[in-house]
Amino acid sequence: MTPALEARDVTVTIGGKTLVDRVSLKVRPSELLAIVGPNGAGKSTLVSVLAGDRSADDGSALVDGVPIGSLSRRDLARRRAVLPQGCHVAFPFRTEQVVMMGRYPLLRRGHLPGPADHAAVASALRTTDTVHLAQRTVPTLSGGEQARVSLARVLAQDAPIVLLDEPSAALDLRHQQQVIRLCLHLAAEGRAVVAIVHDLNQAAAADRVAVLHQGRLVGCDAPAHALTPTTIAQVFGVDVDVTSHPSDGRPVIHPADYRYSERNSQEHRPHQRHNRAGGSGSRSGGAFPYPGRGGR
Amino acid sequence: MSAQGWWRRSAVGLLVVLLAVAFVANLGAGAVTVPPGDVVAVLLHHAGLGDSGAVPKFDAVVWDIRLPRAVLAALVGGALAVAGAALQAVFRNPLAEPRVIGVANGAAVGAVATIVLGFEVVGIYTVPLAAFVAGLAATGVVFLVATQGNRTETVTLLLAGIAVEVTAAAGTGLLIFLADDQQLRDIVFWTLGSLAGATWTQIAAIGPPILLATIGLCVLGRDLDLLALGDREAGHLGVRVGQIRGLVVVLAALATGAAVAVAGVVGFVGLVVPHIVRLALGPEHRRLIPASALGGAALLLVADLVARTLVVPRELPLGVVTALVGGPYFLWLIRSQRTEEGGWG
Repeated sequence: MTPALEARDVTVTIGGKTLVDRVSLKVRPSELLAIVGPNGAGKSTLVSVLAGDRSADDGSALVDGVPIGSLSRRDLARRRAVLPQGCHVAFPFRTEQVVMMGRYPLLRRGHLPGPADHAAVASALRTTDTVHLAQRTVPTLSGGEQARVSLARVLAQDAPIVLLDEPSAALDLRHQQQVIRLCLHLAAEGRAVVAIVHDLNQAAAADRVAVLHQGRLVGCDAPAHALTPTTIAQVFGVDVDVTSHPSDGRPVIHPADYRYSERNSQEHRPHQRHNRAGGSGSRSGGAFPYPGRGGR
Repeated sequence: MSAQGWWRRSAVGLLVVLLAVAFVANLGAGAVTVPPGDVVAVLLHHAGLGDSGAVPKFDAVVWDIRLPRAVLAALVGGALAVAGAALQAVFRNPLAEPRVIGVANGAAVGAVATIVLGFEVVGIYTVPLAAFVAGLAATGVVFLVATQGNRTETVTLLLAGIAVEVTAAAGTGLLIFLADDQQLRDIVFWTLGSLAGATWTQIAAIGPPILLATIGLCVLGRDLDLLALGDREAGHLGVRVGQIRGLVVVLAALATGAAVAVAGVVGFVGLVVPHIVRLALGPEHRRLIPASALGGAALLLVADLVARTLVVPRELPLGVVTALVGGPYFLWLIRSQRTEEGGWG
């Protein structure tokens, strides 16, 4: 099967600094790929190449097997939707109008939105829990509400490829969980979904996790294989315990130790306690929300 | 449909009525006051709809003297407002106006230079032609400086606009310094804006570029909407941002250049009208652009009426009238919007 989205040896260099270094990955339809990595790892740069915002200095990005640069802007807009990080609307457009903008690539010039477009907007508003904001002007909404409106706009675009740059960043806990569930739902509908995620426990819900470190792809695998304590220690420089979730066995990542000490606040400690993901050796049992606490 | 929807639709109708009233009032006012009924009779007579075909009273005053000026006022006002609305969308800033792309000050240099240096290539049309060409040239410089490798950054465009504007203003200042008294009188007349001496030839000359720009910007309405989300986001939704921005700047310069060439520098219309229309109708450009054209035309017809009749027999400069009313009104607007809409967002 042709991957919906593919990076082939993508390299991006800006001002002599290599932000993305020979990254290759494929995203298939019906798949949610989470991209994780510390700040400055090149996640957003990689996604902007996959979105067609910028071209790779070396290597190439392909949409449905076609080089992304060879597609027209409009054609591309019908194939993939992008949720940027923090979108700021310049004029007092109402929520409903902004979400309708997601339909613009599908409208013929000079034609007004039809029933299908209005239905898509209504459905996107419901899914993102923004129906009550439909008549409000977007600049007057809170940051989290604006983020959900942007997400609704992306949903209204109804594209087979969806790229999300930190979709849950500004959201409260309930909406964070809704967004992850939504990403899985979009994948279940047959779309190829790529999301940059900071919370490793949210990333663990994805089908695969790509771990970026200093521009390089360190691993791209099922969460249980990608999010091991060794990888996390190496990439993020923190000690974690990984247990497996009692309901579906996905890895659950816990900070190993929150107690303050000069040592673990200043430098990364060599990892001492590792529990392999999915293993049964967790110190206080996988069902307890924070195993570390039981040991104190 | 909601009450808002009803208001939005009737507001367009209201604008049309407002424009018609402003038009008739402008044609009626002056040294000889013509009642609205007679103004309408003259217009109907020339449209071939008058009764009996007898020439109505005041035909010469309304048709020959005042009509060209009123039509010119409507065209100039509409052009400035449409250009302002489009540039605000491109710059994602409600404070943008035709001045930011250098066209107004560029045109001023062209006009003042021909006055001071005494060029006369095509008779009385030398000044407007020089203004038009210099205005577009100034915008061209702004655009070339701001474009690198097919990319035009908004901030660079804005900064280049300021640089060109300042340079052009200095050039105008230098020329004013060199001018003699009679030339100074002409310069003041031009830089403060006036519609005196309007002719059908002027209308025929500036009508096509203004109509072309207005229609073009109406067609680009959806792209202008998407630009409000930001350049990247607009690109994600299929807008070729670089090309669209270039096209909008060219169309805005065309409309403004044409308007400024015949009317001189008339400030504030391009800033205030889109703003008021946006408050009334919302920011969707499909409505905002044509409604701004109507609103700008109506506003300049009223401003011209005031300029002609306030200190009879003299005439106030048009730009002074628009700025004198527009400035304080805008202050009030900024103040009230800060409290109601949560600032500029």
